[in-house]
Amino acid sequence: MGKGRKVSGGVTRRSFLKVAGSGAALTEVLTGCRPSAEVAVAEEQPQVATKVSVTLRVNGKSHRLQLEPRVTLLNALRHHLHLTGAKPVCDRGECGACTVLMDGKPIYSCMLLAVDADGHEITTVEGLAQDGRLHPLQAAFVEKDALQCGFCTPGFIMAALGLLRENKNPTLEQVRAALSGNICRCGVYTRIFEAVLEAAKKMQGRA
Amino acid sequence: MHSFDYRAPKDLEETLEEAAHWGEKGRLLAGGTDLILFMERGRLRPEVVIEVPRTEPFTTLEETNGMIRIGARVTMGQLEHSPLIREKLPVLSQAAGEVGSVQIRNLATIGGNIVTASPAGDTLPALLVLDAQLMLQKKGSLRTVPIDQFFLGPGQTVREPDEVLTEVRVPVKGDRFVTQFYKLAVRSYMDIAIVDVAIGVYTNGDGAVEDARIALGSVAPTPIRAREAEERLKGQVPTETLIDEVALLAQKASSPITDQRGSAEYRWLMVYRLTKRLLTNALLNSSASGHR
Repeated sequence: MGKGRKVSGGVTRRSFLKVAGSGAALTEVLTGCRPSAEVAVAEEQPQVATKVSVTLRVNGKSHRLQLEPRVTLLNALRHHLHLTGAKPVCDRGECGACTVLMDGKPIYSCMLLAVDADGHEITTVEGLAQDGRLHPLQAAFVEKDALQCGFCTPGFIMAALGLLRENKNPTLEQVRAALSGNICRCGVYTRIFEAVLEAAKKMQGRA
Repeated sequence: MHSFDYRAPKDLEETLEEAAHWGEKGRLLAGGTDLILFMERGRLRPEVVIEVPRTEPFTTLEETNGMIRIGARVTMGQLEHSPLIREKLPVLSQAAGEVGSVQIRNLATIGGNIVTASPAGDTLPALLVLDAQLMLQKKGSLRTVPIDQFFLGPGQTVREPDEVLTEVRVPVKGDRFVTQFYKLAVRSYMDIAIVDVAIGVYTNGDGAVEDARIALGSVAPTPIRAREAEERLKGQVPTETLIDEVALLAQKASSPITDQRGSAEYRWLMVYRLTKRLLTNALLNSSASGHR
């Protein structure tokens, strides 16, 4: 956990994409998604480095980074810690794909400067599975087939986790309200709500 | 996003120093849900971003001597869930709970909602109804500005660049002050208001209105109070005809524009309709509590 998945010979999928990344079309073929997220890697490199020291505590581990103040938590997670579970989609706090927990509460990581997250406990989707076993929420999403393309899924799971930490036995309406800040373009909402309700039952040992 | 320098003052004093030092070149960062977005889109390009610290008085949330003190960094989520705010200022708790999504409410702050001064800021009509006082502090001076004198236009306020909004103070008006809030929007969640209406009425034992507040959002360049409508209610025992008259006066106070969320005509009609509905509900609730 923590580093990108290896594809072969010690090259991560992301570092391979970064090398190959000048060909946006190749990125698109390999990932099946918009190339802009990968192209943004190049744009994010600071031209004038007035970097600050930031200690990010993510999924229980501390990481000391030197970052430009303008780097958002989302970009720090993806480009500096190689945790790509949180996704950039709208990059303006509307779609929820970048949702992570800060001190147990769901937030949009695209709307927070990484330096502002210093000293706070960040949890990303990579931090949920323990010893190779999926978190009950993740397992429920698989069981209920609560995804199609899967791009929004980590955001939905983190928002749902935020809800279940505060409310162990939510109603359907409470689930809908808690997930209203997340968009699923495939439209799998019904199954997502079922998965969250199922996970709530499992986590209370009622199923 | 453009490159900027970052300052993280430790306390109020250091924040005032930084604000004084950078003036218009600096920008205060609280929750960031507006500022990060404005910078991401290039609408604001401050040289320096000064983070408002998560310390007292910016994080204060308490009642002292009949006054509720809300620090500028208190989040929408805190206002939504705080037992104190839910009990004593339900109209603010409700308005805060209708801002954005859970993820936004966990970051966005009351100070940010006020200073950003959007005509559609959801907590602003609620704060107008509550006679909120804004504490604006700079090096060596402190002034208190009533919220109805704070807004000048969209994004424009009487705050000077070196002034820091430290906290909001709200007098507790007691059980006889009954409030209502309604946010009209297309989606139930995660939407910007087409019209916001907040109402507060203070009735005496005989059912006459002693004092009233009617505040509107998203229908003028700033959130506004419908003062003529409020005046019309005072001293009166409300009837259906009077409520209708008051709702028309509220409508007259608004000056809505047409945008992608709704036409000026629609907003105009809804101000009348919602004022009438909320005022009726508030008066019914206050007479119900009067019989206890």
